[in-house]
Formats: sequence, C-alpha cells, structure tokens
Amino acid sequence: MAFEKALAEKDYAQACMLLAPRTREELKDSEKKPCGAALAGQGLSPGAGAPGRTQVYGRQALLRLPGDVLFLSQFADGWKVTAAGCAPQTGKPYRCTVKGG
Amino acid sequence: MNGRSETRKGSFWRDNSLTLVFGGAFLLVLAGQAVAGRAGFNENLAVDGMQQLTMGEYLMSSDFAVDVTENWQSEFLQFFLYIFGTVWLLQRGSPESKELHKAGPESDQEQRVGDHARTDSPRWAGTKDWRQRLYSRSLGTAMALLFVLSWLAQSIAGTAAYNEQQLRQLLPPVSWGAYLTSADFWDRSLQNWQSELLAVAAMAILSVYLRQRGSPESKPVGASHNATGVEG
Repeated sequence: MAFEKALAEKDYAQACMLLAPRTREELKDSEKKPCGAALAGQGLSPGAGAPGRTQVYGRQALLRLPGDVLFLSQFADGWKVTAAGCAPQTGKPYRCTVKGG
Repeated sequence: MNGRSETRKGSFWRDNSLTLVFGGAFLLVLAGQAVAGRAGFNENLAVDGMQQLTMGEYLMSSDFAVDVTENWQSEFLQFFLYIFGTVWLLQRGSPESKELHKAGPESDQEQRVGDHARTDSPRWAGTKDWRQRLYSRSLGTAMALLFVLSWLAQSIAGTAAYNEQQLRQLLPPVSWGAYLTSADFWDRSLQNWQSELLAVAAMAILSVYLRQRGSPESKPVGASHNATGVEG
C-alpha cells in the first residue's frame, strides 16, 4: 500500500499526498506545522506485510495491515487515507493517531 | 365491481389509464426522490469532507437502494396483508369488506373454479389440481413474494449503507446478520409498516361513512352506512 510504503521510506510529503483533504487539514491545523513535518511527528509505524481483511462499502473502506489499521475513502483521484494508526475500542469508534476533524 | 366481463374495447390509453398513470407517476416521483436523496446525501458527505456523488453514482448507491426498497417492501406487505386478511376479516358497512356471511375462501361455485368455471374463466381456474390451488392464491402470493424480495433487498442495501456510515464514523462494519437485529433495520421497517397499517384501517372505517362518487373504492353515494361489500 502506497501510504505505508511512503511511511516506511519516511517520505512524509508523499504520504501527505495520500491523505484525504480533511485529514490533511486537520493534521496541519492541530500541529501548526506543514503536513509532512506534522505527520513525521505522529510516530506512525508503517504496517508491513500483506493486508488482512479489507472491507469496502460504497466509497469507504477499512484496511487491516499487520501493525496498522487504516480507514480510506474514494476521491476523484483515487483512494485516500481518512484515518491511520487506528486501534479498536469496544463500543466506540477506532482511536486513530491521524484522522479528519 | 359488477362482476361482468368487459368486452368493450376503447383506446389502449383509456383502457389502461389506471396502470399507465400510476406507473408514470411512480417513475416521476422516483426521479424526484433520486434528486432530493442525492442532494441530502451529498450534504452529509460535504460535512464529512468526502467526495460528492454524481447522479449516476447515487443511483447505484446503497443509500438510494435502501431508501427505495424500504418503501417498496411495506407497500407490498400492505397489499399482501389486505388481500389475505380480507378473506376472513370483515368491516360492517365498508366496501373494502366482503359481505358479512361470506367470510372465508367461499365455495367453488361462488369462486367459479373446477366444474363451476365458465368459458371465459382463466384456464387454471377450471383445473382441479395444484394449478387451481396456486392460481386461487396467486394475487396474494405474488404480493407476498414481492414483499419478501423487497425486504431482502432492503436488508442487503441497508447493511451496505449502514456500514458506509459506520466507516465514515471510524466504526467497524457489521455483518448482514447483525444488521438484521440493528435498530436501523427495524426503525426503517417499522416506520413504514405503521403508516401502511394506519392507511388500511382508516380506509376500512372511513369508507363506511364517507363516499367518493364514481370510485369503485367507495360505496355509491346514496348507499346505506350498513351496506357491506358494495362498491360504487
């Protein structure tokens, strides 16, 4: 997955390009830094290996990788990450390190 | 209805105006629902910062499908219950009810089946085997089948639409089986059922006392309030 590959290569500018617009804006606003620098400070560990169960409904998807869970949404220029570094919480939304507003 | 076989032939449009007008109106209203539904759906997507849907994409979406099928299933359920229920259930004074002494499936003679079939009766009405039994219940069975298929479609489209919403809220998707026990599924189903049942009950009782001149759904204007099973 391109986003995980960019994280693994510490190419945060490229990883930012793969974030959904709202998520990118939220990251910049909350960290008061450019997206790449803000993303680098999040401590995201790239998931490695083949994706586990992927669930797609309409334009939304949940991608489980070894070491990371991502939420994605389909835009005109492809699938973008809406939330990354996510961990499940019983009866609540996933707790995600990076997410939209 | 007067029970006479209609042999007069008018124009195609006049002879089928009831089906054609309601069928045409259905398509227009469905198109209107698509326009309004897409606008509302896109408003929600904009709030969440998601990509807007084109009309073509919305027409193929689970959100549109569940909104359509949840209404279809309740309409077919209404007619299924009405058709089967009025075999046995009565309402004194209502043209929607059969006469009070006729509760039940009635005799073969009254129903013109088997040996009592006439030359212009449908072919399967004149048989004495499973074909007669099936044809004797074909209207209600068709409505029941359409209800089941629509409700199944609602449940499948509803699962997808619900899960799309779940994912937008960073919640895990649910299985079809779990969706069947969800509040969303039963809220969509029951809110439609209650309105259909209210409409049937209102029609049954209001038609006892109120009239619509010229409508077969009403008694003749001058008919007694006690006259049952009489259609105008």
